[in-house]
Amino acid sequence: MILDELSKGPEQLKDEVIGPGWCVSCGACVELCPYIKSEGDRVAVVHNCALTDGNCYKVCPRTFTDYTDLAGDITGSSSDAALGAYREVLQARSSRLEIRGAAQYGGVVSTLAVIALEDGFSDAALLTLTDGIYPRPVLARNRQQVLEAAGSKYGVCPGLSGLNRTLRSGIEQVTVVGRPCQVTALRKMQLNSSVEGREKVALILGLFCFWALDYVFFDQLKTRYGATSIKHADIPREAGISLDTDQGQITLSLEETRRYVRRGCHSCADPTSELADLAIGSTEGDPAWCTLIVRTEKGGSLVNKAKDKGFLETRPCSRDFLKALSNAALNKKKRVLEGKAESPSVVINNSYLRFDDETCRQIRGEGV
Amino acid sequence: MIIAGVGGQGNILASGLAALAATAAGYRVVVGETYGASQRGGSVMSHLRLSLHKEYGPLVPYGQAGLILAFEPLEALRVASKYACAETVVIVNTVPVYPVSVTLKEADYPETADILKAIKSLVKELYILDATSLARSAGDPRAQNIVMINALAGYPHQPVDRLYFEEALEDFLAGAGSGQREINRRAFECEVELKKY
Amino acid sequence: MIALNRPGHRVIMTGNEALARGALEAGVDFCSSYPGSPCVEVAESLFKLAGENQLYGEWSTNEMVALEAAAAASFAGLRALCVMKQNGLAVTADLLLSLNHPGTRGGLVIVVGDDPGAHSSINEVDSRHFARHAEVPLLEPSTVEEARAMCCWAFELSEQIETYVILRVVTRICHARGNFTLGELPLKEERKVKIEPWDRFFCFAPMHGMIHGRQEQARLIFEESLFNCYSGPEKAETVVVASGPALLYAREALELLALDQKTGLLKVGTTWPLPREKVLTHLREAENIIFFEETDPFLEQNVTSLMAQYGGKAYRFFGQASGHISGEAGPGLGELNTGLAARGLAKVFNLPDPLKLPETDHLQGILKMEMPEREMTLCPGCPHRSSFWAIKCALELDGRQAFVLGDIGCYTLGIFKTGFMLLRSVMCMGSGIGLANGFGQLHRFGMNQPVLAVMGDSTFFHACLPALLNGLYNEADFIAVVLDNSITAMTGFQPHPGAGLNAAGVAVEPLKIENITTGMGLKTLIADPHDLDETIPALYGLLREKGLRVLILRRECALQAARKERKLYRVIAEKCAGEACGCNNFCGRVFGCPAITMTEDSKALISDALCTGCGACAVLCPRGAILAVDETFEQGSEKEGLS
Repeated sequence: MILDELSKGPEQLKDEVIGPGWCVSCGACVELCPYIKSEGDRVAVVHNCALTDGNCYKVCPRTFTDYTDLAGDITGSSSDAALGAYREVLQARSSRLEIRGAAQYGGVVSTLAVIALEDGFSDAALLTLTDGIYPRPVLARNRQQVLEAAGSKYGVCPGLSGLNRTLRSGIEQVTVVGRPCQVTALRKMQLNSSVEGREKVALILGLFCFWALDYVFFDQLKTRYGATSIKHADIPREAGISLDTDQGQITLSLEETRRYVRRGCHSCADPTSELADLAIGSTEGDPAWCTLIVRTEKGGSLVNKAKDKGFLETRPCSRDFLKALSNAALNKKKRVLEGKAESPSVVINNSYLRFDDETCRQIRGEGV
Repeated sequence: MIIAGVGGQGNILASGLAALAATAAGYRVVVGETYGASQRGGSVMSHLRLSLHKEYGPLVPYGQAGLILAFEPLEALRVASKYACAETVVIVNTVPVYPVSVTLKEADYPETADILKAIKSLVKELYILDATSLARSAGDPRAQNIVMINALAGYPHQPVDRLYFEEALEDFLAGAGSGQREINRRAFECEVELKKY
Repeated sequence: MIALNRPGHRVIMTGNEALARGALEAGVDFCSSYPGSPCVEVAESLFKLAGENQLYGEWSTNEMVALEAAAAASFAGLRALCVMKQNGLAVTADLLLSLNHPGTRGGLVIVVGDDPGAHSSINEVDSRHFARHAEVPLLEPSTVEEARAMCCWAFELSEQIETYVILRVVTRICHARGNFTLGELPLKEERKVKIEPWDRFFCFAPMHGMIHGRQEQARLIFEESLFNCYSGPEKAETVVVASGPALLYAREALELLALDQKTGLLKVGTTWPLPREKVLTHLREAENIIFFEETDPFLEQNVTSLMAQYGGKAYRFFGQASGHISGEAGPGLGELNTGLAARGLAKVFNLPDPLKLPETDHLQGILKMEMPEREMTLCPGCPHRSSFWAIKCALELDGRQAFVLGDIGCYTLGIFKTGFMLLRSVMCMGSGIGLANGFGQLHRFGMNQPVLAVMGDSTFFHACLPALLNGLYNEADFIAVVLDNSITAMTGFQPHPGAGLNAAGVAVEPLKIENITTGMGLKTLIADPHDLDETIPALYGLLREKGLRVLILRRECALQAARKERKLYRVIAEKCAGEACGCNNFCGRVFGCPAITMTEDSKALISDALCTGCGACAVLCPRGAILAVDETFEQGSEKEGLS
């Protein structure tokens, strides 16, 4: 439904989100119209369209967002304060070597995207590929194109900028892989907006994400190291980030990496894409497997399809690992709710972010 | 006489034809006009002063226009507001060309009926026609200036015989391609009914 | 038309054509010019004849070169004409003050077109001061006929006194039409031009005395000239002194007020040096002297100074200094006309204001609003509109409050809404990139804002090269954006070195701007401004870099393109989003193409009379609702988003 709190327009988007620096470059507002554009990781309202009530404000994950409400509509099952509502948490990996070889960790995202394309869930998949050193959105139509976009990018790519044009084209159904902020934006688009073509978003695969990097990070790879292409990136245990580039392996410490984290990430209380159909992330300590959270029936049927076709294998998630993940998620949420991290005026029920009271208590660790 | 229009409507060509026709008819003719930047959508005016005896300055004095031939209603009013008097006759093409302030939705454009009413309040007689549609039927809506010259040539109370306008047009078309000649001739020869407002 | 060989035939022509005719009747051999309103057609009409009559014509890259070229022809004994607008004469200032030293051989005439009221200029300049500054003769015609006669005579005058002559015209001569009788066209003989071993063309300070001598010689000739004439009572108490078309306004005003019988009227056509004796003859016995001229009180100041020196008594002067004779905005501002002249005379003679404007107080009531103004706008299809939109988007995305400097051309309209008010500076040709050289060094003083300068292709060749070299040499930090529409458009579509045609209409190898900039070692990108998906990222990328970078936005002028082939576009109303979120009438209301208006139910509508078929709106439309007229949706671009 269209909420009163979201009845605002691009000037407010500028004043409340982009201007103060809370934009996370999800790209949901970009290309909804000729007035909002993106280049690299920058999103700008280039001209005031003069409407005071627009879809741009409604889809933004940094305007009023009621997580409990949205989750209720999507998952229909009870919520876990740490990880959001889910049906099961699994460990998974691709059974196809050629996919695992090209992809990140267990290759689960790429596998699921391939199945979604080849098995009639959608005719296109919105992914992110690395163009030289910069992430950019790409619309994949076949397995080859999915594999070209495989691998984690860690940058604040405004991927949904590619979606809005696609929704107005002849594509019938699209699967989207995105960061939690992008997942949230998509759900707001489906439920709180009047964006044309929003019914074409067939399936949402969310990633785990605790932070993402500004493009100045990639700029300095160029200027400091002379790197012009990135083949692979990941977050090693002891360091901030490690990249396999044409100038060899480049590893940055946590300290160094932190400088490039997008400011808007500090106000994110959704590290595990709680509103996605499926959420996929790494498994700390076991790079061969991914963690897969099944949240909706739709998501579950995609996983089953993948398994039936022999593309995916799964095993249960260890309790220790689950606890570790939950704690990490809770800590991030706690920081945001208590305003310890830099955040907009996050005060329960008076902020852009809303969880119900019970959830808030659990996040804070009050009571049981 | 003042020929008024918007830059790009072929004002200069029209005044050139009228001047040539009047000269051939034996008048001393002086024309004053402005173009250059005016092509870019601004208001354009051509002042024509005809006399058997004297050579006048290039601009019609305020309040002394005998005839205003206007390619656009707002421009007709704009010119009439400064140059009309109780004796003035206006012939106007009623198709509006919207100023950029209007297409940018920053200003409104008055109702054409109101503009015509306003013009009438300043002059003796007002005649209207849709020259753009007539030009479109002749083959190109941009030939509305020739249709307006057609209207001028046929107006019974102006001093230059239609024949001279015809010759002036032939002169102008001498270097033109056959397609252009056809369209312009049709625009000059089509039937024009000057409706009295 | 101007070469019509029918002496004695009565014609009607524009002032510009009349000047060209005058030059032909004088047997002009060489004509060089840089296009400028209001006098561009003088050269244009002569160039159509180049080749015949042994006449050479060229569009020079700027007025300085044009005048130097004409001077060379004059040194070789040929008759040369150089045509430029008011600002162009200012460009030649250094040459004007040095060329007057060696003097000329063949007649050299400079026609300068002033623009009182600035109809087609950024300022209103009174070029007559240059004549006094350079101490050379100045002629000012009052009618189209006189323009022809003066131009013809000026070559002879120039040869008599052996220096160049400035013939100053204004918009109301250039763009006016008037009758005159054709004179004879001389038969030209074969000539053998030679520069002799003893020929020298120096400017040397001790020659200054010769300049005084020539000026005095001119004055003596002017005393007898029929271009100055007096009419009215022999010993008039009040005499009106006027030059240029202001004379006609004054004469008509005197008749309007029934003052013509008792008031003297002294027409001055040879405005500098003043024909001292002639002026004194008619003014010495007067009590009141009234001045009419445009724009500055040039004649007024020279005559009042003359009367103070030689007159012998106290006079009452009425003109700009006294405040009696005034343009609409004040003395010395804007044009005069008969009505304003009459008002001025009424003030002098203490008569009631004779201006009879129609009564218009009631109009706002009938219209239910104020009459909308007509602001200038870029033509439908103009590539500059897309260039400015691309720049606006790239700058907003960049977010560092970059600013854009501009100069003279169609893109000067970038100061208005039609160019999204992007331009922060407009002054003379080349001033945009010139300023960028300065702003581009201010990072040393803590300025963090990127600097852009836009310039046209013709302007690039005219004035921007030294600034570009300076930016390279002094390592300035800015982006030079060349708006290359392959023509000099604003002045009427004249060619230039990059356009592939010369003044005679012959195809020549076009000089590509990127060959110059890359030859200088400058990073140069080229993009089609109507292809915004290409242009915005290209400019955004350049903004992230440092140093002197060049972006050439190349697309043919829409009006030129439409002459060759005119596709029309139409809006499919059912697909048009109209006022809805996602559009809100972007094409007509924001992008601002003047060919696009709104229907009653707020759908976009393209005018078939105005559309030039550039196709930019079809690409920009967020709903793909605009197609070429012969296109259907099956053929039309159904964009699928990303590759």
